[in-house]
Amino acid sequence: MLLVWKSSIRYLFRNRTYLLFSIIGIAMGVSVVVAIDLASKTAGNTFKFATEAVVGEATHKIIGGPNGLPDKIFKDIKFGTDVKDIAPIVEGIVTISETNKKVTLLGIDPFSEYGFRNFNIINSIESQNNFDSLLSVPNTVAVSQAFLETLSDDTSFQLISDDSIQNVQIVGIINPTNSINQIGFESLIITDISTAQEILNSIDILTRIDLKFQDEISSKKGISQIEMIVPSSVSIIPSGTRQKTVNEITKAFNLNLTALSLLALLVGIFLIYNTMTFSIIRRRNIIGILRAIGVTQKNIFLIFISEAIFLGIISVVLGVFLGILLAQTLLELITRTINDVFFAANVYQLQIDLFVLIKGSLLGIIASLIAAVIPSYEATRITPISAMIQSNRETSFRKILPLVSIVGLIFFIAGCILLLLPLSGIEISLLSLGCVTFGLTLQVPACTIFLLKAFNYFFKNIFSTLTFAAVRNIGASLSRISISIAALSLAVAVTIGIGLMIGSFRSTVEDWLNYSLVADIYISPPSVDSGQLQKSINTTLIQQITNLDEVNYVTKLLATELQTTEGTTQLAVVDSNIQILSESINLKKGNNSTVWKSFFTTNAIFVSEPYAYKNDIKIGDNIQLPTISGLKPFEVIGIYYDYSSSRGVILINRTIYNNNWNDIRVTSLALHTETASNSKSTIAKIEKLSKPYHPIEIQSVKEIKERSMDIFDRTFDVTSVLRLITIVVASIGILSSLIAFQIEKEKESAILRALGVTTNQFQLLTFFQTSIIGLISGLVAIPIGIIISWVLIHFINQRSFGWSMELDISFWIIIQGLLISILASMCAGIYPTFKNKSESISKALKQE
Amino acid sequence: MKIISTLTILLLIMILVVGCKSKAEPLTIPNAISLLQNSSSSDQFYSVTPNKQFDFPRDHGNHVNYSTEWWYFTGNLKTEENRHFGYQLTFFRRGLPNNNEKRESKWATENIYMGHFTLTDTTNNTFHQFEKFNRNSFNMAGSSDKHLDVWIDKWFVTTDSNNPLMLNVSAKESGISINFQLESDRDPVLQGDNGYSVKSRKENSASYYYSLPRMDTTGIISISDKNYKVKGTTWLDREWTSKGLARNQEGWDWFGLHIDKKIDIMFYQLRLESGDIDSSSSGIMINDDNHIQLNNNSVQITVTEHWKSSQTDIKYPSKWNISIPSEGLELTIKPYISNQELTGIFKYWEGAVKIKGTINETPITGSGYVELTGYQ
Repeated sequence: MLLVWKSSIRYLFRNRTYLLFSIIGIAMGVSVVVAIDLASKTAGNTFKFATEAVVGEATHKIIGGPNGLPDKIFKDIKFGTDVKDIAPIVEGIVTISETNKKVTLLGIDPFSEYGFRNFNIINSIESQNNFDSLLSVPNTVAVSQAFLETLSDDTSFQLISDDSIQNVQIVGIINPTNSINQIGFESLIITDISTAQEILNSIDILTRIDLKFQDEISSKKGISQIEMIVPSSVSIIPSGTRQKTVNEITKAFNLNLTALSLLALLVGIFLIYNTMTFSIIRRRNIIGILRAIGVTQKNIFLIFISEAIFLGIISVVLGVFLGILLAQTLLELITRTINDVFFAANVYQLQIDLFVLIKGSLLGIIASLIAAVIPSYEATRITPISAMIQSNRETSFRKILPLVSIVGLIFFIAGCILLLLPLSGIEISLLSLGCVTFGLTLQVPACTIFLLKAFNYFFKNIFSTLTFAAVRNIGASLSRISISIAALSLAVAVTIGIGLMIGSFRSTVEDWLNYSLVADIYISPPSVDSGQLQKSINTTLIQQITNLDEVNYVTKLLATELQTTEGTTQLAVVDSNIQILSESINLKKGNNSTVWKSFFTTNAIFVSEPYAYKNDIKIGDNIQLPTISGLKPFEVIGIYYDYSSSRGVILINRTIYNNNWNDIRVTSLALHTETASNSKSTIAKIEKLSKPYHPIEIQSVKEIKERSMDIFDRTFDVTSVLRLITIVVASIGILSSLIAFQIEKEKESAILRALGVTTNQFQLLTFFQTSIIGLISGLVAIPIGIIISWVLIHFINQRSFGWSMELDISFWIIIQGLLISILASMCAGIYPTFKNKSESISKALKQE
Repeated sequence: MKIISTLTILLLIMILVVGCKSKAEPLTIPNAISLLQNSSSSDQFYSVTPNKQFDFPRDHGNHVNYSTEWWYFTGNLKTEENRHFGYQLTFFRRGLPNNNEKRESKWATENIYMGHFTLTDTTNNTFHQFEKFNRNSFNMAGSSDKHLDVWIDKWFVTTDSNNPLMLNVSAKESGISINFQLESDRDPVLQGDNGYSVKSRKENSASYYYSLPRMDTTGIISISDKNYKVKGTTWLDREWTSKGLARNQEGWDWFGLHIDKKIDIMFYQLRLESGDIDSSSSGIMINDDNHIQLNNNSVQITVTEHWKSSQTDIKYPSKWNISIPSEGLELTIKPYISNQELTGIFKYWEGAVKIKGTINETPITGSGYVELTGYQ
């Protein structure tokens, strides 16, 4: 038995270069899984803890209508009801000048805080100010120790709120009472509620009032008491609602990333399979001899499985290490995307979760095992006699090829059925995508044979015998090379698929921007984050702008939020004319000839496509909205395309809104100017007019489009990184297969070289072979990629975000995929080419 | 005499400014003392100086130029069936340092208030205790600068419009409420040197201090919707100052005693870290219209029993022999119930006590309140 193990160890050692590449390949697969998991968990935890730090133990919250919550309501509730645990909150997002990070500013009333949030505040040692100044001295704050460490001065810093820079003094340190939620306080500034109102320019207005009820009965009683004394525009909702919304959105995002990471691991599995198969083929003779001297099938199986576990363990250790490094980069990208799209929170440090590492490791080892089972089983089938027949394997491979294709077909059909089932879960969709992709990948060997035959047919008269032989040579080693081709195809297909999806998404958004941005100049206050009241534009200024000669028409918009029991609903209030509206709003559903009139005259609304999808809204449905006179039904008369919010938007006409909410604010303007006028000079004029007022941003339609597309592109940076990694993993796969291929062909190449094929010719030959492999992989990847993108667009994205988009098959993305495939393959061919060149002919021949 | 307790408690509010499920680590007295030293850095508050001319009812109201002030009501009451209750309702005001900037937010505050409300139900051997904090924004807490009106949330004391010595006292919390009418037939009694009460000679610390020692009290106590009509006597202490505890002082024992024959005694002894009693300890004995000043030498206090709190593990004295030989007074003082410990942000013992003893060998009885702080 010792002999058997010795033979195994010696083999592994002799083929260390080749093994190294396999290990790197698997390690990278594992690292991507670990990195994505670590990064999204860290980001997720940070957002979760940040929300928990802010929400604390509150069970419910009271929120105001579009105009916020007058702070007088707090006293009314405190003195007019039996509700005891009640805490007023003024909250907003500010930017730290020094670090340019966005953090949450939480204004609390310390005297109402009993039992709400899990922290206390200790005196800041560094501060000359006494701690109690937090209550009475303006612009004094408390921050966490971790936050303090990001600042150069630990007594004061500058923050930007509402476009003005303010100096604040640190007088206290936030001291979480629970060490686990420490992270939640890293992006938090706590102030007295008075300071928060002043910094956030939210005088007389509260963001919300937190409530804490011990049980169902007390909450029912408390809520009914509160409802009796507060105006009907105020609503009481469970505290977790915001967290729920955020969870749902980030869940879809994280799932997509996880799916991508699993694809990288799938490529890794192909690699292990390839490595194991190759090592078995190489040792057919040895296995034959071992079997002849009485080593049992069970022992042979054990040897190969052990080798797989050994490879798996080394790869996993390396993979976990690489994963942690990679996670840091991904974390920044993920956080940035979530911040861009969802809300503000900063992640300072990667949290290395042992569970994630163990999970990644197990996944890597299990993947290695799964990939090794079939080759190891095959090894046990080798009899002393069959070991001597070289072509045996090729023959058997060709025999099982139809089976591989059939299994693939079954996977593909199963995937399709899963997709078409009326189950809308993203997980199911991703599983179906996995099935479809895997099924298609199993068709690669058959396609390779077909393509090789086609090459032979077309090129036999064009190329020299030698070149022709190179192509045929690939066909002769199909059992080894087809796995690599499949792995590369898969990687390239994923690249093409995601590329096409992003491209289609991008062009859909671009089309939509072109369609909906019909005005020439857009004016809005500097952007604010969710949870903060959007600043309105001064009415005098609006009048002055309207009166400008260059301005033909002004569309007035109000972007606001309504709190419903389902969470925060985005509301867009539009004041425009029928012509502009019908030109800029692209209806997906609704009668184009009649809706516009109803929109202007009745309690009717339009909802955006994601809103309709997420809330299962159809034309003719009624949506209950909390108006100043209580809940009122609004009929949905149109569903329109909108890509500005994945949460969905309700569009309502200004007059209808004013009647129901008594709110005259305007948060943005769209100016239709004289065709002859120069938008630059008009912008300059408006800038001059706006000087005495609150700052506003004035952008030409061109600028606004560019900015939107910038944000769009940033969102997909993470995916680009992952696509790149998948390609690298696949290239390593190709490299290791090619090395295997060349080792296999050592004898043949020695013979060729002995026959007088020059080194240059030989290099050319290898180069040609690898290019053909790349070309085949690329060609096969194209249809698979298109199918992947089709599934992503029509199922995954539709179900994750509710956006519909048209598949736009970009020629360039396909060519790009093909080039990547050929280049990756050619790069992978460089090492074996040179290795071969240095190999001595006689040594190679002697092996005979 | 509540100066030290009040200051310390008010400073502790600052330390624990944000509620933390009330499980924050208890702060030790040395910590509180060190904070106390810091807090007096503000120059915006007046110092307490001798020879103040008191002006009533104005001085019943607030004194916002001094950093700390309190209204301290304690009393013993009985139903017609002789069922005994003790109560404490206290309001503390703390002026905050500020740089006199005009603030835009209505939440901005210059004064914060703390309230303690306790009810001792002797028959049921139960001690109910509540604690409240608030700022004077939106009048959620506050006090008048004209007469005795002070409130925090739904606890309040108001003065009768016709009689500045007639008060309405009301507090309600978690099914426990009190609703009393208080009336004093005596004018305020100035403590110390005409209301100038020295707290530490070493550190030149003092307060303005007066009492309404014997206010006839009638009203209703309500426990879980059950009403008890009661009658009894309340002691009101008023103090204000801008200076805190001396560095070498550890805690204090305060006695406010009502003895039959209309004898009222207030005495506080300040305990030093060294174990000695500070010579600034003082008090007063009112026998009809005679005001007898008491000091450390004229009063002898012996602790005869202790009680250990199972909640805080703090050991407090729980029985005393007090003698004032010059007046022929010998008293034994014992709590109505042992557990009258306040376990809010600041832990101390303040409770109703019963008195037995002799004056010039004639037996006497009475009831009072004792406050014990700084024990560990």
